Amino acid sequence: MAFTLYSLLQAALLCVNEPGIKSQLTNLIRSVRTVMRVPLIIVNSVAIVLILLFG
Amino acid sequence: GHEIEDLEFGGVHSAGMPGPASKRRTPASPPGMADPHQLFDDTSSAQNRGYGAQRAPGGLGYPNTSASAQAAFLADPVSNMAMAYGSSLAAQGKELVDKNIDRFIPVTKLKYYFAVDTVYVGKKLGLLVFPYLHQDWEVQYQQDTPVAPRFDVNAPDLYIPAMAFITYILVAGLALGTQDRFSPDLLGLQASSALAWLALEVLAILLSLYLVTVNTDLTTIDLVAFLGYKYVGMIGGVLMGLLFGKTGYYLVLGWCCVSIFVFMIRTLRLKILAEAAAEGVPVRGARNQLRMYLTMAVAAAQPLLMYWLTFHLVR
Repeated sequence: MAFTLYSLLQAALLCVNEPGIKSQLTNLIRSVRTVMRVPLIIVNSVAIVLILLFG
Repeated sequence: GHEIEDLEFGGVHSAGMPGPASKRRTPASPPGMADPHQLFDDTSSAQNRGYGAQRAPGGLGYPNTSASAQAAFLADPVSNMAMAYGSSLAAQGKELVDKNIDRFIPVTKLKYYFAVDTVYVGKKLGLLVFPYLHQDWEVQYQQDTPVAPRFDVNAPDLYIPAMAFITYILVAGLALGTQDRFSPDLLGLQASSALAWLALEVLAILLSLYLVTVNTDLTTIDLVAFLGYKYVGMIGGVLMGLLFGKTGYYLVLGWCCVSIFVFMIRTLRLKILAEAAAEGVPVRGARNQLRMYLTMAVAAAQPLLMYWLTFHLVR
């Protein structure tokens, strides 16, 4: 049990400290924001209109 | 020469025999006709009246609807028109789907995963339950494309996962039925929850593969195939639990968990850790170690999910 907990901790540390993962994560978040920007604007506008109409 | 001709003629004649024999076998009574009211045997006594009321009007697809009700339903001209309109709509939709299907689902690639035969299925099932003696886990290639599962026992297929999933749903229904907890909508509930866990697993693994920048030829369908192999162990565990109670369930599930763990590690090691594993070198270096941890995490998630999806079925 102690061995696996330690290796879990080690894996988590490796994960966070890897420069590759940080850049991949930032890339992912930036690309998701770029892709979802326009659809989210549309969806939010529709939601606002519906809420104004139907309370 | 004369005897040989006779033997050949006998051979041809016996090859022709299965034809009329199979034709004779088909006009057996279709299921449901023998006992028309036993299509869904619901054991929950509280819902008996509700089901009786539900089943009476909506008997379009069930053979247990009485003949007079069906004839009255079809003779009505409005419902005739509605049926004609509905069937024309369905035909139009089918045309549209046929034209565009290849854009969304790669049908030809899917056919590769169902090119299996009985020998492959038998060997693969044996490998899933006892992977400890198998030596060579490499998939054979043939001019850059992997060989069909029929010719290589290491190739992933979708036949076993699909069949195992359906069997798992049926066995779950059986297990619930023996405990008087069954109702038909529970089958749909089990199916959708298992599918949701599968989709979640696939997405999580794809995300972690992207984050660790693994250059692998592991396609999404391959991943679905590998993740679907755990249903075989789940079925075994639940069936043993039905026969022998909780001890049988834990024994068989424990055995299948360990087997699936070893199977997944040995299969994924070749896909994710391709360079290191091919030479048999023990993994060193931060990147390889991270990939090894990823493989172990994926393999460890299998027994957890196997237990999570079956423990409520065995009491």
